[in-house]
Amino acid sequence: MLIFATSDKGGTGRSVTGCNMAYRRALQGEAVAYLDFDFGSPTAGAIFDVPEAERGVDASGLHSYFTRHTESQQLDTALHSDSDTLRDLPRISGAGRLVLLPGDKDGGEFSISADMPARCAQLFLRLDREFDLCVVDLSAGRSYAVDLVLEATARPELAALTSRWLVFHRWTKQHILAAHGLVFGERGLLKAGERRGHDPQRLNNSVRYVRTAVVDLCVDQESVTRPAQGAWLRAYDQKLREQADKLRMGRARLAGQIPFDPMLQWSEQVIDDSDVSGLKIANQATVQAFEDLAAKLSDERFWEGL
Amino acid sequence: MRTNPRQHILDTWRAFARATFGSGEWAWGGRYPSNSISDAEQILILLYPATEVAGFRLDRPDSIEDDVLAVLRPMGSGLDIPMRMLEAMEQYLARYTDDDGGPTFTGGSYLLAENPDEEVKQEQYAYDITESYSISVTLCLSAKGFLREFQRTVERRELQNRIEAVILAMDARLTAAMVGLLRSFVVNVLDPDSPAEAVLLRTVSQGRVVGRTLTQDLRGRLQPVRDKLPELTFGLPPENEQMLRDYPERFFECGWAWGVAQDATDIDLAAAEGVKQPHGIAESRPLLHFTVNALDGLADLFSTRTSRQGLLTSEQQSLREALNLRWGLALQYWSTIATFGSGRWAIEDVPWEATTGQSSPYFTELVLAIVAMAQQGGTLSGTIGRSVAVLEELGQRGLVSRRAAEDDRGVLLHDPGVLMRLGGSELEGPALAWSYNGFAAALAKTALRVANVSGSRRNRARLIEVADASVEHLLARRQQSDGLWDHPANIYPRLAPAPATPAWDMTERSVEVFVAAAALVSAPPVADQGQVDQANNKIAEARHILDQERLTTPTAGGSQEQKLLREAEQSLNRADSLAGERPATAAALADKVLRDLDELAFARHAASRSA
Ligand SMILES: Nc1ncnc2c1ncn2[C@@H]1O[C@H](COP(=O)(O)OP(=O)(O)O)[C@@H](O)[C@H]1O
Ligand SMILES: [Mg+2]
Repeated sequence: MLIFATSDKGGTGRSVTGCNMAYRRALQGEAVAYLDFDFGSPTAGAIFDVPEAERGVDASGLHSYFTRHTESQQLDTALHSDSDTLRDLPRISGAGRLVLLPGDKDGGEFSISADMPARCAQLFLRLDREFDLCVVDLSAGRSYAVDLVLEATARPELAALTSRWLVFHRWTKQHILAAHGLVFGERGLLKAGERRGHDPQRLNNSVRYVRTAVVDLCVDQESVTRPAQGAWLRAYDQKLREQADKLRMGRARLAGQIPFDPMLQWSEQVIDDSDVSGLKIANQATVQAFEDLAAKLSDERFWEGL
Repeated sequence: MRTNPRQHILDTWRAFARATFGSGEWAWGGRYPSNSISDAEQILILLYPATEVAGFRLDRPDSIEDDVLAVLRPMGSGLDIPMRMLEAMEQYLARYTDDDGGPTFTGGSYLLAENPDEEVKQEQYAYDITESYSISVTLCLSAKGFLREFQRTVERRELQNRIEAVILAMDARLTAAMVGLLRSFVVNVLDPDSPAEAVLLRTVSQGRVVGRTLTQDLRGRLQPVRDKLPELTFGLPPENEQMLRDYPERFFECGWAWGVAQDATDIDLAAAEGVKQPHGIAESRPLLHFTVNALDGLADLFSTRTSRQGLLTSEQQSLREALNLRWGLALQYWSTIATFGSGRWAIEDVPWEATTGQSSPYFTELVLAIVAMAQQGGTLSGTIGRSVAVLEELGQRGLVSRRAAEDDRGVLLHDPGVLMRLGGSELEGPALAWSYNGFAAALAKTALRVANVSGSRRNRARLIEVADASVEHLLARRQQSDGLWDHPANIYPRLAPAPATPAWDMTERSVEVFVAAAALVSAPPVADQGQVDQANNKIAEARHILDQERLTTPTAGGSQEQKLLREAEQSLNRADSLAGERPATAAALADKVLRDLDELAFARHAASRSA
């Protein structure tokens, strides 16, 4: 299965959430590949704490795969990461591999040349055979990366693959509108997909949303100290929900809602159950939300939709 | 109010979801095998609060609040819940539609043989029951409102079609239920010198001499009802009207029988076309229990929500009007009898004696419920004070707000409940009976209903006390382990313990009480003019002092004083907007401003003295 992770704006939490989601799937026993298609600013290496891919690799990253026709590296995080969490993954019974396909340092965006979509499709096909799940972290907005994968997935050789889209956005009025524009706008995903031969209705049905860094009103939040503050947040949250519902981004299409977590705010990383239970530096609710999001990826009733 | 409706509904839903979705699929029935009434009750436990109380909506995945989602976990995610509701409705419709596609309204396991040694016959189980008509009205309307809203989130064609089919079937069922309610409405002309007439006269006379003055007086008071009876052009036998015309001295009673009346005629409105109109069985005599039950269902039909959401088809409108006429007559008839005369009223003489000769505090409660409906319509508001006293007495006598003495017969109201004979049923088998053990729930509902129309704070407080005591009673009747009803032995230890299975009838009644409590809580508090004036006076003084301060305080922004003045201004604006509805809050805001402003004046005064 291919999961395309996208967002209208940068800094939404797409990569942090995507990486944690990928980690959870691996924990659940799947072989997972994480493809850093954020050619301008690859960050997955940093989140997985792979020093040689901190800001992308020096050579033969995904950028070079397209622009220089080199093969792309596959870094098994169990071997290349400095994070104990990831190094320990193979020792957990039943867990699968988590492999990073990094971007290149100083890659930058590029325009699509004629052979790239086929090459992209070829990559996806090959990885789909090797992995249960491929998470493709796309650069923000309507980028070349987005065009490239839309073009690739429209090709007949990928017709049999399951491709799904996750649109990440923060929980504010502006971010909701922006995410809506990214999908439904004149220059949005659906229109762009249609031009490349996708059925817009089917494409739309394969899009779901992830709300990131949402202040969780249920757990006792240190940041909400006064009752009036809580009352305001609750009322405003209600308004945002109504807005999202109206824009067809409501619960029926909500793949996950990740609580704001102070640890993630300061440190882009994969968090693990020991951060919650042992050191108690991350919130249980955050880990649970990643877990739920990971489970949703293959919940067929959910993807069937209403 | 000690009752906390939100919490009680959530608790009930949690227990309900666990019991009904224990196996993952909706499990029908509980203590009693499922029937058209019990299954409707089971759906309404969810659907009724979901339709009536803000904060409990289930019709859109996004409208479901987080705590609601948490208690309904066994039903699945926010996405699954409306789907589960849709499936339940589909199953309900399939279970209560006969082979020819006609809706059925049978009583099934709720029917009892009056003599417990006899066995109810199979064909008797198939009798349509007024309670099923009435609960169907509520169910179909709530379901339609729910589905219309759910539809707006649904994008899949196939699912849209499914919803559309359920809406159509609900409409057909609603129409059939309305026709049933028209055909079970009866006018019973009393034979002169019959026992029934004697009871009626005894009831209204309350110790006064039953002479010519009294009967003439009563006839006069009932004349407006009598005048309207000829307008009832269908459902009733023509002899009825003739009798009323030919014997102007005869008394009558009107209301709902337990099912379609023996002498009911067919409804030949266009709307009723295609609706099966079987021959009636029920004795043509109104029973209080079924009358109030029918009125309760009709209240949903006439509600503002029903018209606002346009839940009725244009054909159903004609049925609605016909029912509205009957509703008005029943209300007027019973409240006239209940409050007749200038001395003690019939309603104050607990227990009420029905013209069948049976008497029970439950009947008093029923008549009060009708009076309360009339009060809601704005008439009879002068009777509220006396209703309050009767409700308090019922709480005492019915052992809701008082402990039971040993061998207290009042316990029977709750277990096994009041047994009512279903006249006419004996023609095809053993005589049947209907039992009702929801005395406490009915008491709470009526108290809350009256509280909602009461303008007096004192009466309101007394009524809330009655309701609170009833709710406490209801909560105590839950099974400890699963949190569902009904275990009266928890309260009356001499009773035999009930089976562990949930009784959906009591559960649904309790939910109705919580919904009524929520309605009262969401209504604005009673504000009296004296308080409003007082608040306005305080605001005026505070404004005046604020203006004076503004005149003298240097305008350099950012100073502490300027900040205080800005806050004072905001507080007073807020107080202004609240003064009409929440005068005490407005006064409290003004008080704070007055104190704050006085600190400035007092400080200056101190400075002038020390200079
Ligand atoms: N759940 C969260 N709670 C708090 N901060 C978060 C959360 N998720 C992400 N962040 C912070 O948001 C910022 C942007 O995250 P990132 O994943 O890099 O965004 P994107 O990939 O969309 O550009 C990071 O600094 C990260 O620490
Ligand atoms: Mg990123």
